[in-house]
Amino acid sequence: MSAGAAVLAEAAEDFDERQTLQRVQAGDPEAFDLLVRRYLPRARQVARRLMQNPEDADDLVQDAFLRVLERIATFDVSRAFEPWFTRLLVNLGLDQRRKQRVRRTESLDPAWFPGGPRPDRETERAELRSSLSQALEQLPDRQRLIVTLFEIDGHSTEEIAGMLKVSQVTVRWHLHQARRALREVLKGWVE
Amino acid sequence: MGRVSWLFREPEHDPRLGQALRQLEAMPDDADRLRQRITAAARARLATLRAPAPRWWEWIDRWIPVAVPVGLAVSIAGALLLPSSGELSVSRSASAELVADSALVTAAFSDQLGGELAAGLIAPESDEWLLEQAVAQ
Repeated sequence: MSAGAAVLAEAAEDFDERQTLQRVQAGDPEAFDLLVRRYLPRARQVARRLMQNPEDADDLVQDAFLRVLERIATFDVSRAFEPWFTRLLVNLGLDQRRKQRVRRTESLDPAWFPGGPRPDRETERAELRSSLSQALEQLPDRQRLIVTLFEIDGHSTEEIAGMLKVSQVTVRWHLHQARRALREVLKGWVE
Repeated sequence: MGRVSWLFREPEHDPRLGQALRQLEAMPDDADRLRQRITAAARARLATLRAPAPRWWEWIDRWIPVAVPVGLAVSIAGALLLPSSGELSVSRSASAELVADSALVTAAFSDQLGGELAAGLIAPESDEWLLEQAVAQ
């Protein structure tokens, strides 16, 4: 585990969410730092699934945390923070994606998914990976987010519906569409 | 209904797809840098949250420089507009009289009241009514 990851993992321990949120409401910078350490990895993951490139994803995470401070005064600390924060992040991200689509003139860059240079011996596998990442990118924003929340994070459709404020049936429909597209690509995946 | 029944059941997770997607998601190791960037950007907003809510006398103190000139301006405007409002009331009473007169004339000539009232108002038949009044006094 790297130093940065260790620091963030440390934040997961001894975390009293309610007390931390009350301290953030009072403007305590240490409490805010604790909150950021706690939710940054997850927020970054969700943001990267939504945004076109890693820089935009990091900007989105920052915007979402700053937006939290704008609204924290009225937040009921007896409620769970994560679903509220995820919803705020996703709505902000979808909004930015909409604006980007209006501005965008150039085509998508399929190489934004991290992974670095590919070794020659893995060329075939890398090609399949690239195809999968392209297929994932070509999915509508909502479908991409739903399929990753379901398949990678293991959330139920009920939890995802709560995060995105849509019905469970809507989530299942998007999930079905996304999986169908991705499974097409995976047909050629040789393990 | 049978064809879309999957919409009403919780789907199973697909481990193969999940693993493939996870392999695409290697996160860069610069989370700490981003954290520092966020906490630095948040300083001003946190300071705003720390600032206590203004007390009532602070609120009044803040609004007095605005409220006094506005109050004066309203008073001056009121004083300037007062004569014209007097004229307005005169014209209103004149129009009210006109309406009353026309109503009276209409009533006088209507069939319901008969010609007696009209005759009394427009031209008395004789001077007897004046004599009667004088005797009564």
